[in-house]
Amino acid sequence: MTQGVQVAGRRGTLQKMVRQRQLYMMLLPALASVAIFTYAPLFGWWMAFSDYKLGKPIFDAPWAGLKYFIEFFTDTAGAGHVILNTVVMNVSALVLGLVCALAFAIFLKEVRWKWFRRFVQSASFFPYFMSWVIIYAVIYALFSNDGAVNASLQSLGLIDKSINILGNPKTSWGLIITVDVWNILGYNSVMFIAAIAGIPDEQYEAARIDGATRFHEMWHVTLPNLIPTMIVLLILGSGSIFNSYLDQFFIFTNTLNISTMEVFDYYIYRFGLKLGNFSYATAVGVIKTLISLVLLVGVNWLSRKATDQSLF
Amino acid sequence: MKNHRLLRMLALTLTVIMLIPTFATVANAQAGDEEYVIQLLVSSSQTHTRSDETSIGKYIKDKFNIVFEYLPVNDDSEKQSLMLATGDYPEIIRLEGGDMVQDYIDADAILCLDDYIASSTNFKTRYAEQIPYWRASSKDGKIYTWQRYVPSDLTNAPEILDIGTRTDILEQQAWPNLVSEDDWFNYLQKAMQDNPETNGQKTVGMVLPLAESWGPSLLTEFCEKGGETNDQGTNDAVVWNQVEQKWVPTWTLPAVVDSYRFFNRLYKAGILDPDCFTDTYDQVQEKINSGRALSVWYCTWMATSANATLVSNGNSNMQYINMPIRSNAQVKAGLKREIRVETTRPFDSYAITKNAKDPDRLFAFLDWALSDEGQILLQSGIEGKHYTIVDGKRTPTEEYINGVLTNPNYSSDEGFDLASFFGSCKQGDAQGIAFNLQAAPAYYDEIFLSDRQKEAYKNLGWSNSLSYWTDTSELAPTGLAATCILDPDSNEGKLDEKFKAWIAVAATKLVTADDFDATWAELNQEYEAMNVGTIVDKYNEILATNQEHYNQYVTTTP
Repeated sequence: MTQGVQVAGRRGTLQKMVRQRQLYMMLLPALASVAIFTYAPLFGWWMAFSDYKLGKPIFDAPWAGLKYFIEFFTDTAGAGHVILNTVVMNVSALVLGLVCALAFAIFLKEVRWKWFRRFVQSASFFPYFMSWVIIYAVIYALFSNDGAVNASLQSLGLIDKSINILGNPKTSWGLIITVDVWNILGYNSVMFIAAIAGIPDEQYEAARIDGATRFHEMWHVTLPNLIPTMIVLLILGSGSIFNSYLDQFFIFTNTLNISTMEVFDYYIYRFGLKLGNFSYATAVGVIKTLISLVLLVGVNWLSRKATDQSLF
Repeated sequence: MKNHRLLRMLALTLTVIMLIPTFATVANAQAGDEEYVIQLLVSSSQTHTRSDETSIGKYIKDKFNIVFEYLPVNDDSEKQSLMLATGDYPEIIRLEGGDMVQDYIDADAILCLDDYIASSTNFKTRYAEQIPYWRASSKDGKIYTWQRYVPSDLTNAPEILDIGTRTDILEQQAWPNLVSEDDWFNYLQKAMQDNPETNGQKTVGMVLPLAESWGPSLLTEFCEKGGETNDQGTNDAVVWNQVEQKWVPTWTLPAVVDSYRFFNRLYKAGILDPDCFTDTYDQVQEKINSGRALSVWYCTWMATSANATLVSNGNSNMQYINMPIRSNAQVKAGLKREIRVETTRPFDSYAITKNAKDPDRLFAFLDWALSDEGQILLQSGIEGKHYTIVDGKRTPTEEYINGVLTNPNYSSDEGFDLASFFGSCKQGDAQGIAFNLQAAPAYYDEIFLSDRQKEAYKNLGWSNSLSYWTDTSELAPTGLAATCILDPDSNEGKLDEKFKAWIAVAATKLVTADDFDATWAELNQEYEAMNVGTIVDKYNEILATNQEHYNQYVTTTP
């Protein structure tokens, strides 16, 4: 009887899939893309456990075990500052980015002129699409020793000597965090703006009836409704804490600021790809991925424990 | 229904449009076209997409039906690894360094040239001196690559790379004869005070592209200005002692310490451009082109190319000339300078890859290119257009001279050195005139220096633009030095990579240090902890091995 129900259940699922075949076909390209570009390359992790030589088939490489993983962790001079820089800059950019986007979305909601609100929202999204080369060119023009900022400050007599923001290890973290927050503000705020649009009007009406001012509405209605969105974005972002835009750090890193600017991805590029040491680069990449996975699961669990909300 | 039909028609139309170029390409290939198009990776500053867009390229196409298609790249060295990993390399490839060459050999990606060389006409005679060195440094004694800018002889003026400086500043200070680091410091300091701005922009005292991967090695160049060493190998932990014919540590060489100290002095005085640590090649070139830079360290070819721009911008009095520099200690010691003459140059190696469609045809073309006729065409140009024969000797035409002096893109536009794999040999013809007319001592000054530059050297009291160096230097062929290649997978190889990463940062710390001696002492402790002596020993061990191999091959015919 049970088996009959199971067979009937399976037939039902199959029939449902056939009825919804167009939906599944629409899903196919995305699944294929994920399979080809995200999961298929995982076979390349073999390089991390073998002595891969350039130009030879990957699976012909002799077994090396955990040699390259151990090499990374014993190279404390290389690993220490890389991990610190990556974590500090990415965590700060993540938290600050979300907080700024939240505030931006909330304040934008309060703008009465529709056309101005739309213009600001569109303009805030623009930096997300800019190439890092263009961004650096703008920042160089502004903040280099001969840039507009230094020239203005010197002409106003506020400083005697130009401030080397692009080459100062003390300003690296601040520079990258600021640029990242500016870059991602529009993108993150879209999530919050969408969430705000989904807040029922009745809540605001009820608040107004109770005598709430606009600030009270913001604090007691808008903000609490955005917390779930914030948590989801935080959990998703925590999985990317060890990921950085290589092109961003490739351009911003120089010999003056490398001690505080070098991140994981740039380290992998320098000591892996540039030197043709693909096995070592892959091993470091695997370490990065595993740590990111642990972080993602951990933050998700913490969120479930603390707020009863989680991604999975 | 109507919408579905429209949608289907649109999808079909788009598919057909996308497929048309594919069929066209296949059709063209199947037509049996004999034109041989070879894709070459070139610098991103290349202005043409095909070689037959230039006059020399058209000549090659008419004669051989061979055309080069240029694929600009920014970082050649990184691409070489990636290309090898994917198997997607062009037919002819440039390989930087012996370790990259070995990777390609191990992957069976490049052809062994021994059979080709044995039956060649010009390759074996052109490279008769180099072939035993190449065999000596090869693991199996076979030849897989050839190299650019070798061989060299006295028909070519030696390459001197000291400091390029603006002639108007020299004139301002009554044509001082600058040699020592003190001379230069005082000169640049005064120049900065007298010229705070140039054409409305802030003047910078000295520029150099330290943001480039090879940039930090420029900070050690005092090692070649006078004494027993030259700058063979200063990207690494070792430098070549020409007199003792052995490798010595770079970091502890007195000339290198003096070099860092000199730049520290310039930095603290505000003479060294504070943006030099973040400036790339193009950014430095822009500063020189505009005349903002009073001087450029080592990269005097950038100053040479800027001169044409300065002339065209109406600033011909700002043109740069090359002048010498030595450390104070070197001036005091008065030793001859060892001018490096490269016997081999693994940094610029070329190979025919397994992806070559017609390697026989490629090698035959290369063999022709290495003949006198080929080298003259590729380096001097076309007779009647770029040079004429006067009293049996090649003489540059007015068109060529004007082009070189006034148009910064002239060489590229005409197709000179349209493909770097032709060798660009630094030799001359039977009449003793260099293949590259710009390098011929007979024409070097009289024709290729502008009036302003000639005036400057005359006012300095020099008999010609190279007289200081010819009086105080001797030529130093590198011999086996460049054949010493460290295995990157060895302990010494890995340590060498760590050292390179360390010294780039250490050099920057020294140059920007408030207290140079304290910073040096601190960094020296880090250096000693690394035990870099093992690298030096390994290099000398490789040198001894290569010497043994060389002795075996030197009498062997190619």
